[in-house]
Amino acid sequence: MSTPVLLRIDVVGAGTIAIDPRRHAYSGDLDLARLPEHPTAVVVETHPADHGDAGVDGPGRDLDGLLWRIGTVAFDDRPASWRWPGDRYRMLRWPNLGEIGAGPDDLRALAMLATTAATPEEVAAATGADRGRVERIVNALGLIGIVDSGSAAPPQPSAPVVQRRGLFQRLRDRLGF
Amino acid sequence: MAEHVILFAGPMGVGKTTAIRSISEIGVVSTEADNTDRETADKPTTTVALDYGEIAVGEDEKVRLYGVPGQRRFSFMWRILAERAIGMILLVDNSAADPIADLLAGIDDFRELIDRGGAVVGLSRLDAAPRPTVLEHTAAIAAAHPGLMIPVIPVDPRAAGDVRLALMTLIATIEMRDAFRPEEAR
Amino acid sequence: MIPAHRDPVVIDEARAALRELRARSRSLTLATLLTDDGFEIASEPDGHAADGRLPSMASSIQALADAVAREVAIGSGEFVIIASSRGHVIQRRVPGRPIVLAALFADDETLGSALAATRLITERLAAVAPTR
Repeated sequence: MSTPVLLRIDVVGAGTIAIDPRRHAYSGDLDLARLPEHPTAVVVETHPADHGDAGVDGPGRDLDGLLWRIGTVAFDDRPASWRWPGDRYRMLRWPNLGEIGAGPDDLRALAMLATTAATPEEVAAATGADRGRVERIVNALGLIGIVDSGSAAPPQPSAPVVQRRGLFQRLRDRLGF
Repeated sequence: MAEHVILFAGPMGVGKTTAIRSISEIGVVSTEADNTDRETADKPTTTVALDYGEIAVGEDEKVRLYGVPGQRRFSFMWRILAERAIGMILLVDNSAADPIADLLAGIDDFRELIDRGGAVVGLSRLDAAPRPTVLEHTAAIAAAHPGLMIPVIPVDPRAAGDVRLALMTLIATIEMRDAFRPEEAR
Repeated sequence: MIPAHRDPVVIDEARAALRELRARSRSLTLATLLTDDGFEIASEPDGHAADGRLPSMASSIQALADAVAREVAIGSGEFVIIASSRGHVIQRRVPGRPIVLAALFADDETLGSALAATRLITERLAAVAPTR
């Protein structure tokens, strides 16, 4: 059985994060919104978690939020290095929407990936979302570890999906969402 | 007139009426009675039929928001309202004695609607009670219902932004499921 | 304060009232007195509402009727009638108390006499105890 590992990440000039994968939590003095997309230097330390080691301060925050932020910026609009061309992606669980700051287009992309396996191109075409944004979303889901990839059959919509004037869009307009 | 019926469900006192009030464009029609069951929830009144609010999406289109009573003895209202609904927001109070049990009971009670339409779980009072976490709730759903994907979102029923996010997530889910429903399920 | 459905004094009053209703209306099929929020106080015949559905449903119907009356601003509701091919249900509030009477009459009872009997019973119950 592998020993659990705790991480400490220093983003030079921005702050420090402690990560406890056992609890899927992080804490620290780094504001995610100010996490630089191209930090000058990052120092990562790991050490085995001792029994009773607190890992993070208090309950910590859901690691989904940190990994989403990193995953959506680390590779810009390009596929992450671990992805294969042509793969279709299917979400295994929803990320914590309270932590990732998802916008309306993100919601539709996530909803599609929760329903069917698709390439980022297919998701963008079906939802009207920006292709580059979808690539970032798939990268983030991959970093969180909640997306399955492979060569599934193409999605088969039963009805026209580009619902620019569907209920979601109309409600979005009404609520100013 | 196109109507889209959304149910708000969850245990007594979880904030269904409050959540509808926070986003309804009309004064909410409520059916409150004096609460004689103070052991279950220490609040002066309780919903005994339904709450009703709405959002006018267009001139001839409305999203109708129905809150169901939380107590099981009103489960006939759950069935009556669920028949007309396209989806639901299940509110769970994370400071309750057993939020996971409440979550799973809610899913069981409305499984037909969840399978036919969609659902979002809104988790309240996480600030006061951070455990179980969102991830733990998600894992509990997956363990009890393999393959069932329901977003779990922190929601303060008083916060219109939170309730709108839950509603928009639900609508996105329903639209995608409608679009990609397997042939045999149509 | 003891809830009405657990107060032995209220329960006894309720049972007595329902027995009187039975004596006045031979076509009474069943009746229940319930709290506003749907708990059974007493029923006639005793125990027929044991599964709790009738008091709960009556509570919902009463609340919906009250909501409609408020919405169209016609004052407070006096009674609710559900008329069907084989009988009718009448619901009335007990004036001044958070208690509702729901009574099912067979179709050989005229509506008029059923309304009169239920009004008499609810007014008697209102007079028995102080208002809330």
